Amino acid sequence: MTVAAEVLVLAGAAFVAIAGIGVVRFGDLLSRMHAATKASTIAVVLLALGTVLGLDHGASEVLLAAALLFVTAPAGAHLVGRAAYRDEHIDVGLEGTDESPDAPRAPAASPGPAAGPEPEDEPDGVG
Amino acid sequence: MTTAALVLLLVGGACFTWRAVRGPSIADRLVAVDGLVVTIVAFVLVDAVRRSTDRFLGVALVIAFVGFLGTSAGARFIERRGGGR
Repeated sequence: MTVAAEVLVLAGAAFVAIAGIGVVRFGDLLSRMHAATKASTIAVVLLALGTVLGLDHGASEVLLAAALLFVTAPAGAHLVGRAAYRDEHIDVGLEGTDESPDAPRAPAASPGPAAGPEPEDEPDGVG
Repeated sequence: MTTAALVLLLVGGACFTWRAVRGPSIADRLVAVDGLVVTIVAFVLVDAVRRSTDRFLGVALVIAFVGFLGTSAGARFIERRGGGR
């Protein structure tokens, strides 16, 4: 086994550990998905390259599994993120105005004047 | 060197398991289980390098595919029934 294979495998495992720490430490759902999906995708690619370099046979299976995860991990994260965005009970930690045409949630989706009380309109600093 | 990689994968798997147990919403648990699938695939690959055999690589392939099916099924579940708690 070459040194390059060992370094690639170790880097991939380190990215999996970073993804886990991010999933534990981050505060809302989209931040956790940001940590988990991106770090897991690059980890799988690094680990597959390390395994291909480290093994004599079986490169096709490793590369097929890596390509499958490389395609399906962002697709699955997109499905989960869209479902959580459309669900009103999940706090996805959005700030500011929501410009999506789906407009799933009431307070952020409609910034028009008829939507509700606007605290920014009132004059502040009245002595 | 592969022992250090296995320890790092164990740390990541423990973090994903913790989030899967105590995620406040179903989507958090789904993200954590998806990370666990990636961790298991990575574990199989590192173990194949460690034993220098290609005998168990089909396990990684099948787990990767079944993990995507589970994630998409969970997303459909959230869209149909709501995933607050």
